[in-house]
Amino acid sequence: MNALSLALSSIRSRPLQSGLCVTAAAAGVALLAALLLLSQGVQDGFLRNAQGIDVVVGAKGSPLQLVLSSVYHADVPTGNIDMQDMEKLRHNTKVKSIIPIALGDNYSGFRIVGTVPEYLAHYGAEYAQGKVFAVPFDAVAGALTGLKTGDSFAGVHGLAADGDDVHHFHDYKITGVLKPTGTVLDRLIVTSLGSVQELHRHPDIGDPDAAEDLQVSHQVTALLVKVKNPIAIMSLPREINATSNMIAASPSYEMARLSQSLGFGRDLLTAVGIGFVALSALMLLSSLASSLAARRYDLGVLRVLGASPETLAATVAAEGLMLASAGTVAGITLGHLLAYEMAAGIASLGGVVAPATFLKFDALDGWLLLMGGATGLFAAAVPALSAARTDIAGLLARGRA
Amino acid sequence: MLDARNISVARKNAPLLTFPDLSVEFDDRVVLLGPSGCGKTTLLSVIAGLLRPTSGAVNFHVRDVYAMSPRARDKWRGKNVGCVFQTLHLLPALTLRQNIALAADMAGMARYEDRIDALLATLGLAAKAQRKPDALSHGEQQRAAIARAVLNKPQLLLADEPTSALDDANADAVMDLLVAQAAETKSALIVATHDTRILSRFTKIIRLDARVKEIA
Repeated sequence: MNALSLALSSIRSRPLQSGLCVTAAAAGVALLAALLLLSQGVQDGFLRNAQGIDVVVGAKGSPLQLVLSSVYHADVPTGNIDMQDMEKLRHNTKVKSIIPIALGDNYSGFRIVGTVPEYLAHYGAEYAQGKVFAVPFDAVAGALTGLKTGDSFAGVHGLAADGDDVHHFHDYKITGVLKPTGTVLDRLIVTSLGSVQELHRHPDIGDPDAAEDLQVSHQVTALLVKVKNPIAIMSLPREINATSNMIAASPSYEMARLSQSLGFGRDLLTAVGIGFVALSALMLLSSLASSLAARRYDLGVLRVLGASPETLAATVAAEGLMLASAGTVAGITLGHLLAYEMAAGIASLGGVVAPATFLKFDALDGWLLLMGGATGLFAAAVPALSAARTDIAGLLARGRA
Repeated sequence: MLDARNISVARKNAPLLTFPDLSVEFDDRVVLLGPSGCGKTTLLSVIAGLLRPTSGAVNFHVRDVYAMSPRARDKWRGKNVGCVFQTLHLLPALTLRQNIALAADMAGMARYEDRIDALLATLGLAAKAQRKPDALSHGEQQRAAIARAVLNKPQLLLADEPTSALDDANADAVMDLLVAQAAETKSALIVATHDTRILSRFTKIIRLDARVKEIA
């Protein structure tokens, strides 16, 4: 038997106490892991969704709202802009390409996006079934919409699932279903720009939004712009904001600003997670200390049998390391499952984070494992030193209590 | 083989203990006789290399035990000294077999499974080798502690009050075992006791009570 097997025997001889230590460590690590994974997942999702979009142009309003609504589909649009403004911008020498999008309708809460096929190509969409829309009112469904090729439905005015303003003029028909992309595209229904505009050209009789609908029929909601050179990322928005009735915003800049604003909350949650881990370490320390008190005679016996003080310290340290490592491994696994469940269950995270990515282990887990092991060793340090300094002769003279 | 000269031990909040000189050869059976508190266990700890005396020296084959480095002394003890203490000190988390094997493992010596088997058979413990100590009787635990002490065939076998809580028959049985195992492994046997029933088993009797002095 060596320090490791002795530590293992000791752990197994106290199943309740050991189990509680492992559970406490697992709970702390799981919380911290889930927070870090979700936080990283959201950051990555923001970047992934905005990749290749240098500037977003839309109706006057909040630039952040414009970015959230037209890139992440997480807010209501700031309004619409005229097609002729789009055409004018297309001729700007700083502009490389423009993808227009028209929003305003949904089906079961999934936004219907009127756009051009380049929008799908931009997100690297691949088809699980069917093909791209070819004629008006054909549509392609994202992977999370639950729609199948051949399904047909009527669009509902607005972006909320519970709207009752149904567009009866024409149903959409699904011609293709996309494979998951890990982007917001997974939660969208994409059709041609003309389909959305055509639908709004024929408002239902008595529709109170008829006038607004007619206006939309020759408008788009936003333009996703790619510029010709990096300098234009800053200069183009300035130019548009100064010389037109539109606003332009850089997604990376707006999201960095948002992330900074949310930073305090994220840091607070991370601190809570670290606090949990620290509490787990204290519990481990308390458990090891009480275990040591109960096992002092056992350690004395080991010394009598020739074990060095270092071996005794190593036995106690190994116990702390094993309990902390077991808790950390369990916590990491739980943390991944928790992050997966949260990402899959919270609708607003759909399209921003890809839940399946949380089921894979990554570098963060290595760091958490190191942190868990180090915490276990730290918690075991005092009991281990105490074990090494045990007065064996006095202990054996007193006898087992 | 073993010489302990001018040994005295001062411990915190306790009287200074001085001990008579002690010289032990291979086949000696020595009893340290004295009442409780006279320092018998303290002297055994000094001989075992567990407690550095305040003065004096313990020589084992002319080598000063306390001149060794702590690590070397631990190794020396594991290899050359077998201890049976007043309380049995079997590790409750380990099986009987694992408890016995600990003597080889902790001393860093090869574990001879055949010898463990033979000891278990000799001491009537073969059928209970996989049980934990709390599933054994006091007598069985005592035999296991003796098996562990003699596993490495030590040159010194130390026992502290091995018969103090036993009736005559069991005290005889334990002494039979200790003497037989010491003879088989050619160990010198040193027993600390206040139990006068067992004095006839020894070749040397050292009375400690008259030699312990309290110094103000």
